[in-house]
Amino acid sequence: MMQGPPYTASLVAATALRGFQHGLPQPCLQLTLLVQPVAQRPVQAVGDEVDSLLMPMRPGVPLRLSDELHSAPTSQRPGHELWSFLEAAHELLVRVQESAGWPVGAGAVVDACDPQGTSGDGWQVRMCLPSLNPMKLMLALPWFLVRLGDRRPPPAALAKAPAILPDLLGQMERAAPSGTNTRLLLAAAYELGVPVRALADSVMQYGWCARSRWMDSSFTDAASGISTRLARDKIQSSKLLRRAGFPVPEQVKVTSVEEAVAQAQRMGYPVVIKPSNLDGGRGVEAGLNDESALRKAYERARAHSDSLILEKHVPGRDFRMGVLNGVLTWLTYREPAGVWGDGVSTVSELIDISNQDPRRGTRRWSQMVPITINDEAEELLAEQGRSLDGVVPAWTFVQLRRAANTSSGGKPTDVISTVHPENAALAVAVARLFRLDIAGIDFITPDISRSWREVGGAVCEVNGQPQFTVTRPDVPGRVISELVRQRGRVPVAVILAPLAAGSWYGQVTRRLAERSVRPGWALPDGLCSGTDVLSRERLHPFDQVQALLLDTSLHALLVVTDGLDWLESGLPVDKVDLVICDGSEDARVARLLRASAVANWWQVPPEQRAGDDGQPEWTDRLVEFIAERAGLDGGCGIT
Amino acid sequence: MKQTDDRLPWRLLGGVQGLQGHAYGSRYPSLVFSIEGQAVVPEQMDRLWRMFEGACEGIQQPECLGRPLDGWADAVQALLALWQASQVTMGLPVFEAGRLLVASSTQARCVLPTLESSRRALAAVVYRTFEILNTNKDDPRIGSLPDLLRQDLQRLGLAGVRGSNVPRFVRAAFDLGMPLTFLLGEVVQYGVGSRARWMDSSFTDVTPAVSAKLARNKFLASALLRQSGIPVPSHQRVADVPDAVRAAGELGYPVVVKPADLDGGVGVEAGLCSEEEVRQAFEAARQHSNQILVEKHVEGRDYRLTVFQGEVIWAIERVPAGVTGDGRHTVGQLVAMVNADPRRGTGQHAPLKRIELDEAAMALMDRQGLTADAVPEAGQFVRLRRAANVASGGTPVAVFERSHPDNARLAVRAAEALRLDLAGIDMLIPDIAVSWRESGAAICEVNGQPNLGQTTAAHLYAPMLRQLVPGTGRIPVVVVLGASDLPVWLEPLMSMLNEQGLNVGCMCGDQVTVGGEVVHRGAFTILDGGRMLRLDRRVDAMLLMINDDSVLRTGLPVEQFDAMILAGDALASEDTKARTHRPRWFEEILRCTLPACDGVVVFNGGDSSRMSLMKTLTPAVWRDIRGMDPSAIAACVEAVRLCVARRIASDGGGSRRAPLAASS
Repeated sequence: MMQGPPYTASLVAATALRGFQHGLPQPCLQLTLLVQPVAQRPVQAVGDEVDSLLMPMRPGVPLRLSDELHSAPTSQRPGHELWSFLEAAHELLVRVQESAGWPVGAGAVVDACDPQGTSGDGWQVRMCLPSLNPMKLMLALPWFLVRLGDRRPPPAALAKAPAILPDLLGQMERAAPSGTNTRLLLAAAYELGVPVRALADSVMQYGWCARSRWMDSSFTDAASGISTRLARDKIQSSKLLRRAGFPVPEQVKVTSVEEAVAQAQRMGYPVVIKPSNLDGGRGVEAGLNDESALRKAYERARAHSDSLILEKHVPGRDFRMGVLNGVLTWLTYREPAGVWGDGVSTVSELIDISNQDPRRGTRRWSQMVPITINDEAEELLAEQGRSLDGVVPAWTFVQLRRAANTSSGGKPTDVISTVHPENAALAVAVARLFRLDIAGIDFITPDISRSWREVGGAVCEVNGQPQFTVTRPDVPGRVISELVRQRGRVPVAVILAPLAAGSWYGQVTRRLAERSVRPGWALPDGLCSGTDVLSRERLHPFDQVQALLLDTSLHALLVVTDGLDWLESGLPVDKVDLVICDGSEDARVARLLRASAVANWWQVPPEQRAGDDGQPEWTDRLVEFIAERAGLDGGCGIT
Repeated sequence: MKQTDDRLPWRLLGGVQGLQGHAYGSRYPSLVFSIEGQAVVPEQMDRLWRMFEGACEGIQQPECLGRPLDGWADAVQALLALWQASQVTMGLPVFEAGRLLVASSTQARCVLPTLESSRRALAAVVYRTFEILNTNKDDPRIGSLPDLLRQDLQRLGLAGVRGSNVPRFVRAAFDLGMPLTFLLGEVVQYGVGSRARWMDSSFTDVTPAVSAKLARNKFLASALLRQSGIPVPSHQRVADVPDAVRAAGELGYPVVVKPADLDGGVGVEAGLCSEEEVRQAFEAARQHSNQILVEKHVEGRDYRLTVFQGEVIWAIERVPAGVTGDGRHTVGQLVAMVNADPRRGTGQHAPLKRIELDEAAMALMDRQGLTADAVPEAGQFVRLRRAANVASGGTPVAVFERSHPDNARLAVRAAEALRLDLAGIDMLIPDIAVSWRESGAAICEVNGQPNLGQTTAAHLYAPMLRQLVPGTGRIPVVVVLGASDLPVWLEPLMSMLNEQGLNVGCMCGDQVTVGGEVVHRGAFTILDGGRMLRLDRRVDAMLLMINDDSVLRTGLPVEQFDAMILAGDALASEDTKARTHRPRWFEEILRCTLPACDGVVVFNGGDSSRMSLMKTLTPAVWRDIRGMDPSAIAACVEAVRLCVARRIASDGGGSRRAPLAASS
């Protein structure tokens, strides 16, 4: 890192756009830097903080030149050394975002590189950085500039931004969407080219208009409040499961430790104690073999929740079955936190070795939690007749947690290929009972490859908002592609005024309606959803399109504008399917649109502009174009 | 126990049996018991009634208690009516009266409908009633009985369902003949199998959790509405009093202060005109929530439009608490007159709330230049509350017919913007009859779980359920009774149902299957097996093969069914003693199940005198197939097929599933 050529950079301008540029999947931070060569590489004050605090650079998000610049003469393009410097700078901003839990949708685009200074060896470079939150990304600039060797104080507006990396990460993490699921889904959506829009902290809209769906972490908009609440309440969901004929462990609500002891006596040890209203294995204590273990576990569980349940411990292994739209999609065996002996190392040493697994860590991006020693672990060690500094024989497992949740150091293994069909059918039936399209089902059985009817098994829990498993990184992508069809996109056409004059769009709407396509119109003097006039106010064309993207009744978007407002805001969508113009449009607007890789560009002669009563010839082509694209996939997901 | 005279004491013969399923034609779970006693003297009944009246506030006197009782059976009827009235008064949605099954001169067998969760509590009330009847008025224990009864009734109330929408939907479903399952908490399943839909208060099973979450947060909901191009009042989130005052200054007075995350008008103060008022309102709102908004006050009347499945189905204006002067009475007197309306109460379930002359009311009067003792002019409206919601004494006035279509469309758009299938939209607009495009308007709140209300909207519950649940929610159910011939019937009935394109849920022997797939294997009761099928969304029709007498202890898993085949009287009983008395308990099974059959009963000859007695128990048509040869069986299957076809046709054809991906 930063071993590139000797350059230094200083900030010329930074603008956070609301909208899109260069077809990038996220709004951009436009960064203009003055890059100058220096005799000596700037000395970094903080040695290798970058590599110790930031996750490694992800491949697949490279810096690139804009198409326009790409075809420019060599003299106007950055040379090899400058390019290496820019790549290194870009890498810093990508890594800092991803480490803070902001998925980066794509690499940045350099769209200007002009020689500067009398000697001609400096460059003014403009970089468009896609970001989840371009405004907040400005926070990273002071730190970023110091890294690039800029010695000047940061601009006044950024005076309060943290200068050191740990503080910066802390502040950026607070602005990140909460929950690993949301971040995985976002990353998957960018990968698949599905447009995303944040509605609230963890609530995202994937796709546009009729093809759009909402998700909150792994809840989709098909998960009803009823289902999710039922699933969250363990007592209620166990009752429902029993009523529907599914195998569940015997269970009873307990309000005191004495009651728990008495009930455990009645149902027989071993037992499990767990909070009735928490997810993610918090406070779950399984495999309690006697009264003293139960009493201790009761007190610990009590710290998590006032509402505790006592359950008969079902012998067997712990599996998590993930159902997506009626299909068993992932299945993991969950080994509780623990270590396997090698005949030479002590328990402590084995823990240290396990924790060296790069997937285990405490950062936001860590996929697994490190194994730690707590009261529960010490109790279990005692039960197993072991101690922290005792050597463990080879092939012997030392269990350090009772529950197998990933969040308490458990280790998941993908076992879907071995599942018995009747066990898969059970998982699907449980999801159907709860009317959930995505569900995580905790199932205990001795052997997943044999039918539970034969070897026994029990459904311990139904999770309406399951965590995606680290063993199957493809699942978030499958969720997104099942959820939205046609990458969630509807056709978008931009008609650059003054073509807009006239009532031709009413006729276009009617003719599209005949083809079962309802277009949304952003017009200079109003906003329409089909023939329904939503507003007659003059709104910013950026907000107009943003409003229409939320409307689930629409199958296509038609925007009539001169586009001048977009020069400041950026485009309201990342990709446009069609631009119609007559040559009188503003050159900068045309450039902005062309840079977004518009696939279809129709230049119509000025005499074909629509009149008040006339209907120009190109409207036939427009209707055809929109209807054909909207109709892909059986009519635009019309249900 | 001392007796008042030589009368027989009231007592239960053999205890109270609580059935979780449906028996003797009851559409609820029930208590079944036999009692012995004698006609009560009026004074005794009077004392009983007074005790119930005292222990159960607001109980309506059953008609039969108000008149002289005509003998023993009439006295039992009166008690059944009393128990039913106490259930309803304690908030249990039980809308079916108890019935006498058999009565002799001193004994009677009764069925008393209740909820599954309230069986035990209701049985306690029954026992307590007998204790009261049997206790001499001079007995020292009599003094403690009212308190004990009150406790029993309170327990009964706790065993019911909470939420004011639930009893109203349940009432509507009951009147529509729709099967009901009280799942858990406030969640009720309307309809059965593939026609079943769930509701939780006014959330449906397609109200997304995401939408409900967004709607509950006023700040997020308002931002989303604004982004969708819907007019909303501008507002700011504020942290403390100076911040609130600053925001009010920026937005311009008058302003509204409200919590961002609460429903039902809690902590909302509207029309605030000064810093001082903002300060007070902020501190008051802060008692309820940490997230406070200051909002620009939009002039206009306060309307609530209810949107269901893309249509406005009801609209009310919420007139804030206040009185209209008549030129003679003081404000205080006028308030007392308004509060005399019996609908205005203080309880949680009162349809309207009383108007309070508290500090807030005084402040408003002060601004109008009035006091509680002032006499307002005739026709002058004296506003006593800023907020107009029912909880603060507002009165709902129906304006559905007057609503301008543009305003209805705006409300529908607001519900769509949050992707809610059922929503209460609060709209501020000068006049609901004038388009918002002319007058301006603002959507100030979207409620994802609206309280539909009873005062003006009582008629909405049934149409909503009808729109939600296909037909009456019933699916064809065929019951085959009798062990020996089961295999003979299973095959032809199953293929007939499959030919109708129905996915059959079947309970036979030790298996529950759906479309041939085993759902459950091993011992189960008829009730448990049937409930699995009730809950399974794939089930279009049920075939219940009953071959033991457990139904007497559990009841049937369905309220009503379409066809019964009396395949023989060779039922297996777990009770060996009962086997020797087979005719009697077979008859009891028929008594228990036949009233629920409203289609056809197929039988094979048999003792005609017994059959004619049974025929009076059911509205179904009886068909004697005379023999067990293949043609007789075919004739029987054909009779059942007609019944099934009728059920499907009368319930609006095939199943209409909720658009839930999981159901496909």
